[in-house]
Amino acid sequence: MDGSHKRKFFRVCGAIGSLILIIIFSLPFLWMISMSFKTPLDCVKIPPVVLFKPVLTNYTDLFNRINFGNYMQNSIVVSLTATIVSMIISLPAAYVFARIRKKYKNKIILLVLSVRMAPAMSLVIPFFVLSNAVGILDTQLALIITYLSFNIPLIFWMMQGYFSQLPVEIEEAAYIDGCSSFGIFTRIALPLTVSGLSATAILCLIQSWNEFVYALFLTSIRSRTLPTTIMIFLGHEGIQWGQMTAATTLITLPVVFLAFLVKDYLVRGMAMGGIKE
Amino acid sequence: MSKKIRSALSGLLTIVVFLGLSIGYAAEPTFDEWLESVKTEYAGESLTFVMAVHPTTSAMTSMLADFERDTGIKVNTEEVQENHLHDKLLLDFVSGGGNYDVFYLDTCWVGEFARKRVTQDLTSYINREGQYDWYDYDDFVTAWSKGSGMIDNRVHGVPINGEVTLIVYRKDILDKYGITEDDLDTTDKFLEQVKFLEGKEPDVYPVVFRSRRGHNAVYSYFQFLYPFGGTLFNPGEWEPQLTTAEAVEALKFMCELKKYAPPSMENFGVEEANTTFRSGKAVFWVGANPAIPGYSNPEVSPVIAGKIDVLQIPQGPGGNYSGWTAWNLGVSSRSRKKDLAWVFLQYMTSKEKGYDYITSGGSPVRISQFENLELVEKNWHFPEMLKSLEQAANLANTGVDWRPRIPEWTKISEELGYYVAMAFIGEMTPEQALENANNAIREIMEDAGYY
Amino acid sequence: MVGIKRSKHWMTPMLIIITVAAVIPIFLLIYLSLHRWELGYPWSERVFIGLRNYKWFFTSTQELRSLSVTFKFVFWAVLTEVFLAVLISSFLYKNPIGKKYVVFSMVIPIAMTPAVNAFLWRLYFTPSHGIINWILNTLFGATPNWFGTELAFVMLVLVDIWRWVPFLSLILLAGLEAIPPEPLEASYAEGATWGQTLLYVVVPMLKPIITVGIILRMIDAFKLFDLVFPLTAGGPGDLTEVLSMHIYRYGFFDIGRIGRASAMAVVLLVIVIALTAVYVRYTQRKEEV
Repeated sequence: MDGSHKRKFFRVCGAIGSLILIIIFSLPFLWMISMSFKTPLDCVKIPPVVLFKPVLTNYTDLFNRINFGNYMQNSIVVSLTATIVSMIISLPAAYVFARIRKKYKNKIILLVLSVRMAPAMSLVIPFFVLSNAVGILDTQLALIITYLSFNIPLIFWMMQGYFSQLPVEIEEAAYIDGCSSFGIFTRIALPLTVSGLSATAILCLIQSWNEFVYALFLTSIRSRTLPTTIMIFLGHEGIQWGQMTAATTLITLPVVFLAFLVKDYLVRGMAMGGIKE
Repeated sequence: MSKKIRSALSGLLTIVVFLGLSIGYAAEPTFDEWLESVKTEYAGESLTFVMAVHPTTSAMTSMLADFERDTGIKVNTEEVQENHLHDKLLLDFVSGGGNYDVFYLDTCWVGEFARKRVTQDLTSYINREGQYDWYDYDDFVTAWSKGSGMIDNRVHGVPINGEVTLIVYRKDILDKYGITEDDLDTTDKFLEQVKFLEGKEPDVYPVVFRSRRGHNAVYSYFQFLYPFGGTLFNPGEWEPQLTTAEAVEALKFMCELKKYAPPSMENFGVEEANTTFRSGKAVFWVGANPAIPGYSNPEVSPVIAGKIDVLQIPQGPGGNYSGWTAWNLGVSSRSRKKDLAWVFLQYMTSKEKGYDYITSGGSPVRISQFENLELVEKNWHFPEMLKSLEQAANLANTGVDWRPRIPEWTKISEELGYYVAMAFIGEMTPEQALENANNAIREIMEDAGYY
Repeated sequence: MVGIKRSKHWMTPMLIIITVAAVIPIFLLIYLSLHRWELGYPWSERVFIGLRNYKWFFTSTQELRSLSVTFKFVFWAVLTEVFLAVLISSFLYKNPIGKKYVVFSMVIPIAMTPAVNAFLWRLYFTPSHGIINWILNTLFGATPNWFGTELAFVMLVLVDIWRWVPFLSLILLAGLEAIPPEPLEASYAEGATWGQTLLYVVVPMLKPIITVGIILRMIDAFKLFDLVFPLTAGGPGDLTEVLSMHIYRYGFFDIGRIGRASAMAVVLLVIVIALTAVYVRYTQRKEEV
């Protein structure tokens, strides 16, 4: 075989391989979306139905019969608040950490990462007991506070990396000009890291939105968030696949969309800050 | 006395007596009068009812519109899978939420919930003046009222679904091979027929039952345990007796049946087992009565409706026994609307609404329902239930509670359910499994202070 | 060099909150693990029993089996995922065709809510009418019983693979693209094939990243709960009952023995923190080099 044939063969293989990968990773998601528009009968047909008449009843049922709108609201409020509060607390800390040189930096890293990596299942038992004692079970507040435990380390870790890459000279020049250290922080450091900042914020949103264990234990009716709504469907398999996939579509679509926005930062954020679903 | 006065006096006497009698009766309202009074007092209020997925709860759901119309009370419902209902109720209680007013309550949990005060003691409600007679608590089948929802003579749950264990089978298939109920009246004969039926019909397995780890496995195991002569505790001393040869034989029998059952039956809870039978994939379904109305309904079970019959649990070497249990309605101790909850409970379990309830798929709980000719005509399985209840009475008369309603039951059930499942999937021998279970149960009882 | 005054106090709120959000719960967890307390009984009825819960944990069949399932899972999941990630990332490195779209599609497994994802897979793996068995049946005529005793564990690992291989592949891809071309060219100049280059040149150079990936995956695999609960809930029997699932079952799902669940949770925590310390040591050492 001469060179160009060989190259073409490999290119075709490469294209097929890429196609297979694309199908494997995106088909489950796309199929779910398609099921959410099918009637209950179409959902369970064998062989699977590819061409069908789409219906919106699954979605309307979700909002009318199950209190889905309420749960969505809870998810949005909790995720946003947890992210914003974590930002406020962590950003100054990350900035200072990036700039100082002290021997105890390693200890702080270990502390922060340990908190980040600690299993939710371990911490949730005391969280449950404490929340119950204080009377905040089944409130958004309980979730927001527990979510700080993994959002703060993530923001800290990501942003200290970005801050440490900023050249010190600019800040020093501003200092000479009479700018306070807080001013340097807000008017120089933050604006220069806006892209990293937004990526980190979005990662926090994704994590908070997807969080399952704490939500399972600490919420009941009032402050339930979206991921635990799958429990509602557990007893009705085979009957409500349409509604179920409609729910899962609504739950996962926002985070998949957000992840697309920050896909270049995904690897860094999840590897650096440890992996938290 | 002149004739006129005498007749007037007797007339007056009659009137007085009559009046007195009617005043006496007026103290006991009729069902409709009671509804009227409820409506005037509570119209516009709402309550929350949480329930498990079950044919009887579907029946109740279909009656909700009537309830709202008759009483003016709005009902919000929430439905969860059976396994999760217990935790939901417990967590709601622990967190002091009081989110639920009335709930669907399994007999298994009544012991635990009564001790932890999760359920409201309803004895005073039932005995309230003017209540007892028209509500007729005595009309409930004793197995399901005193034998299920009552703990220490206090009522914590009122039965809404009476359950007795039995076997439902495909008459058409048995007829095809000339097998009659006489060929199935002992455990040995039953096993023989099960083996015979293996592979006879395409895509049909001889037997199916619930056996998922935990509560489901224990339910099925207990259907065999007593007929083989085993028992859970020895009377009075509460020592677990699962290492006896009889208990081991019972577990071996159950594991033997697995060979003739659908694959992954070890994952089946009650819904999966029902669905398998309903879609025509099994000949024998070892279960209980609540699913039968659904099986008999051609709209719900097009494949098997009209082709089924009921068999009592076969007699084993240890005796002729069946099990009984019930699903009850209970009121949350944290509810802020206990009176409303009680109204709902009474309505759903009342004699008057029993007809609607049963025709929508509910299970009988009252003696009068078994005697109601119309209902008996519509429910061919009632006489079979009565036969199984007699079998259950055999067990009760030996002083045994089919599943002891002690507070530790939930823990015991989980431990035993684990080990039964282990033996069932072959990860342990039945002897090992029961030895371990026995030790675990003994530890639980010891910690709880029984010895 | 101008020394800007940096106030270390800016770190204080974060450190306080982290300490409160973590240290206090951990102490409470340890305290609970030394008691016998059942959910539903008042706090006053707890009984101090010392280390009995731990003794029970390390001698009881159920718990040891759960530990062994967890270790088995970590081993198989991480092994196959790293292996597949190496293959896929080198494939992507060599094949620019459609690479952008592959990377695009890889975002989906990473972002999808894991618990929801697992629930979806439960649907897809249903033996009788799930889409996976339909595909397998059409292609190979096989309809495996995914929820049965032989395959349930395998199914769990497969779902985990789908979820994590994209992430690991992207990490490795970034690593690959950071490799300077000289060593590779030298290897080709000496007549090595891509396979040999991969094995003897690329992988050693990627060792740091692979190690980081392995450690991170191990930490997460030990913690696994979100995928197990909706998919199999630990079944059949206890063949997929990883430690987190067992803790949930013991603490809240029908049993409510908080003391014992806490003891198990402490063991899980210790394992994870030990691995985290290894991770920190390794990355710090790497940076100092």
